[in-house]
Amino acid sequence: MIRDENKEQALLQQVVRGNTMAMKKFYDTYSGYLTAVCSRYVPDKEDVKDVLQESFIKIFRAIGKFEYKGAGSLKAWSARIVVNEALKHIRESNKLKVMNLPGEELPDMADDREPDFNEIPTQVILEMIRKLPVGYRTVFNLYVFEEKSHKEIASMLSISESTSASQLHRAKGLLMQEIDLYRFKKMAL
Amino acid sequence: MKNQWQDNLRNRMEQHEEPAPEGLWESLEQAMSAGSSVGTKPAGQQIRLWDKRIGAVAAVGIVLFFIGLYTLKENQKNVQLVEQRQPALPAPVTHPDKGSLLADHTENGKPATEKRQRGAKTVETTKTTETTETTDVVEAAERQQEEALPPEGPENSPPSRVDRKYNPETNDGQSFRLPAKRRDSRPAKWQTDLYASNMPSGSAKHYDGYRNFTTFGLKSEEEVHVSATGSSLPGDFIVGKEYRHVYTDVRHFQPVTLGVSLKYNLNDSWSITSGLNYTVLSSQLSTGSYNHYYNSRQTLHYLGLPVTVNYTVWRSGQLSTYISGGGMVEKNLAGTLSTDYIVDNLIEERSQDRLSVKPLQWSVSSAAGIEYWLWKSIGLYAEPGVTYHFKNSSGVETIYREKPLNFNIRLGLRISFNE
Repeated sequence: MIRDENKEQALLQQVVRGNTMAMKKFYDTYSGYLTAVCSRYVPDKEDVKDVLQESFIKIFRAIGKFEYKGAGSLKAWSARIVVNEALKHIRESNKLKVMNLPGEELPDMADDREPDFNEIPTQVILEMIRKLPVGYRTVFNLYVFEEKSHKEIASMLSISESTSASQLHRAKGLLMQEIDLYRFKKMAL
Repeated sequence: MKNQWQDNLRNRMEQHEEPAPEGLWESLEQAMSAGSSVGTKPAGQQIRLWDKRIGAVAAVGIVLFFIGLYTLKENQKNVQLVEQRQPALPAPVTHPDKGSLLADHTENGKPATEKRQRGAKTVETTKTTETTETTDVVEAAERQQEEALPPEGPENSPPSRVDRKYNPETNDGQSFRLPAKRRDSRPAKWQTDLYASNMPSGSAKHYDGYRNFTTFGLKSEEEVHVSATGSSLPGDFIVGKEYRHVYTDVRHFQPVTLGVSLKYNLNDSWSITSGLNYTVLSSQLSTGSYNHYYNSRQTLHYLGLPVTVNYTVWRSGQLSTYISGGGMVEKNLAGTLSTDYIVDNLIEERSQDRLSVKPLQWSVSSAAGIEYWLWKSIGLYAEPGVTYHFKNSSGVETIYREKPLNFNIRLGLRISFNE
């Protein structure tokens, strides 16, 4: 573990110095995970590529200021940059406007049900998330994966807290529908 | 318990990877190299005097080549006249630098000539054994050259060494009693040859800062330290960093070429040569700082198709000199890049990648050659020449890119097919 940390730190140092070989190694190590992170927010493949490209450039530029806090911290830090870039992309494409449409009321839904993702391949879950409407998806991602509160989400996306909560609620509802559908298909086959 | 599903899902996603979009790294590379136009010019790059000398010699060589072509065409008649009158062994006045080569052969030349006067009909079997032996010898010579030849001085490349190796064989050859056939000074229509060549000058350079085998990414310190966008990037801390001297050493070894070619004699003075050759380029790069660095070794294999036009300047008996000019296209067949990542003198990690250079490598060359017919259908030749390799769009650093203009010496064996 300590050896791993040393290696990670040595790689980090090389990337900081601008060594392209180290950058490639960094890319090879983290691009898979970062692509998965980006894909949660951005459904279009081309957009994913654009956002990732911007993210990597930011990462390589800002990596000098990154403070190493043990194994995994570099990965987490990089993922946060990707999330920021993805949010920027969503904001710029003005897709979030939909979320503040008035009259969005919470549908009546059994609140005690929670999505059950067991036995569903991660790949499939990711696809389900990608299929969610942009607002639901963004809030769901921030809430579940980035562990942001509705208050934080509200200020990040310039929406109200209640909108954030309702979007999450709807996202969960849609996901549960998808899960049921998936299970049903599985059974039918 | 309410958030149990969230934690589970988060943990699963933490482990999940998606294939990165195709071409992302490539476009990233492009974007970054475009952005790093401020990139450091490699500091401390020493252009050795040698490079300049080669340039000068090459320029003179090319000019001489064309002047030579022109004037010699005018004098062609005289040359042929001289050719007929020349004794079997001309004094090597015109090529004082090749003295050793000529001297070597003077002793053996006579018996060979006598035999030639008796004439000889090519025996197929003899030819083939000679050919295989030759390949060995040429390879041996090439190995020797590789070891013995210092990067400086194409002059001391050892044509005589090859010759000496040949002498016993020549003598053996004389013991053949072959049916008589008169050999005129006219060369056979078809000739083939085997050769080895290298560029006597490798290249070694020292740079400050990091480098890579690809041309991308000479990033300056300033660039790397540019502050990120003002947004609240997580982990935005300024860390005091100690400065370490970072260096890069690039060494391109001498390219080594082996080849076979076929020469077609159009008439007494003009001929066309084409064939196939194989070249190995290898380079070594170490980059990093004193206690952790990358050590890479790059090897590229090329298959080349050369076409040259030769003009015989002067011929007498067994000896002839010629000049040639032509071009070559080379295709990269395979390549490897192995990188060791070394931390505190221990190999921390080793990676081996396949490497390929997609664009073709074009080059033009000009050479002067001296050819000596050991015996009826087998001749040796030495060709010092200059080659210019055009830049291609590939980002892979090779000696061709580093030093487009190169001196090379080719040594070979020529077999002529008499009708």
